[in-house]
Amino acid sequence: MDKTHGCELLDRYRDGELDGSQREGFKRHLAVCEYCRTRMALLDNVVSALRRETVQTVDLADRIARRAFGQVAALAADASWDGLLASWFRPRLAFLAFGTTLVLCALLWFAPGVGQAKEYEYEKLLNQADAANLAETLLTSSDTEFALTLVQGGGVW
Amino acid sequence: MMDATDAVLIEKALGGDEQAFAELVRRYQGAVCGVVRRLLGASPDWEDAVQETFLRAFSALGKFDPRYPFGPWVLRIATNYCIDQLRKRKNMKTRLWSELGELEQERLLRDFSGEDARDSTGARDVDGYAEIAQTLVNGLNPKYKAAFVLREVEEREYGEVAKILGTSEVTARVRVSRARSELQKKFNAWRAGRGERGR
Ligand SMILES: [Zn+2]
Repeated sequence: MDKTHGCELLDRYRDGELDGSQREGFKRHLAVCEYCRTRMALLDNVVSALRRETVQTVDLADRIARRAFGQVAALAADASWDGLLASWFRPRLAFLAFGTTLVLCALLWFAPGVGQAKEYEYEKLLNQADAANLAETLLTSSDTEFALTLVQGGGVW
Repeated sequence: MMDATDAVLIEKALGGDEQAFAELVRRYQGAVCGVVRRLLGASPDWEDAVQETFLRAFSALGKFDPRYPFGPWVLRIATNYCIDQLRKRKNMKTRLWSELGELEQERLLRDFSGEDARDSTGARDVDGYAEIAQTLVNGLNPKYKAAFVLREVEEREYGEVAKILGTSEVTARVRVSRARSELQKKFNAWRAGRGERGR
C-alpha cells in the first residue's frame, strides 16, 4: 500500500482541479493504486459522515445584540457619576469583594490554632509551620504519615 | 432593515442601533453555527462559542473595514476561538478500536476504507459513523482540522479558506493536504488498536 507515481495528484483530484485528461489519468491510477483508493474512500466517508450531522441553527441574534449593547452601556456607565453609584452593584466589584473576603478567610484559616489543616495544604503548611517543631516530626515519619497527622490532628504546632 | 447592506448595518450598529447588530448576527449566525459545531463537535459549549464570536466581532467592529466582506471576517473570529478551545481541551474521550465488537469492526473497515463504501448507503448507523468520523477528525491538530472542515466539509474555495484562517492560499492548501494524510494515519493507528490521540 505504498505511494506510487500518480499519488501526488490525489489532492488536486479531490479539489477538482485536474483538467479532463489528468482526471482520466488519475482515475486509471486509482484502479491500480490501493493506497489512493483507500485514502479516497476514507476521506469520502469521513466527509459524508460529518456532513450528515445536523447543524441546528438557534436564533441567538437578539440575545447576542442585547449582551453586546449591555456591555457598551456598562462601559458608558463607568464613565459617569450615576454609573459610579450604580457600579457598587456590578459583578466586577462583587467579584473583587468576594476575592478580598476569600483572602481574609484564608489568612484567618492559617492563623495558628485556627481551622483544620487539609492534605492539599501540606506544601503551604510546610512553609508556614515552625521549623523547630517540625524537625522532629519530619525525622520520625514519612511524608504521607506527616500529612495524615496534619489532617487528623489539626496541626502539629 | 432586512434589505440594508452589511456595511449599512455595521454603520448603524456602531452608531448604537441594537436592532441593526441583531440583524447582522441573524445573517451570519448560520455560518458561524456550522463552523463552530463542526469544529467543537457535539459539545455543550458550542452555543457559548457562537455568542462569544459575535461579542468579539462587536467589540472589534470599529476596526472592521466595510469594503471587505463581513462573512470571512466573522468566521475567522469563530475559527480562532474554536482553535483556542480545542487546544485547551485535553483527554477527549474516544472509543478505542479494541473496544468495538467484532461485527462493528468488520463493518467499519468495510465502509470506511472499502472500495464500494460510497455505494452501500442502505441502512447505515449514522450515529456510529459520525462518532468514528468525529473521533478521527478530533485527533487532528486544530489548525489542520479547521482547514479540513472549511474545505472538505463546507466546500469552500481555497481563497476563502485562506481568508478565514488568516493564512496564504498555499498554507491553506498545505494544511488541508496534511489533514488528509493525518486522517489516514489516524485511521490506521486507531484500527491497529492504539487509538492514537490528537497531538
Ligand atoms: Zn496512488
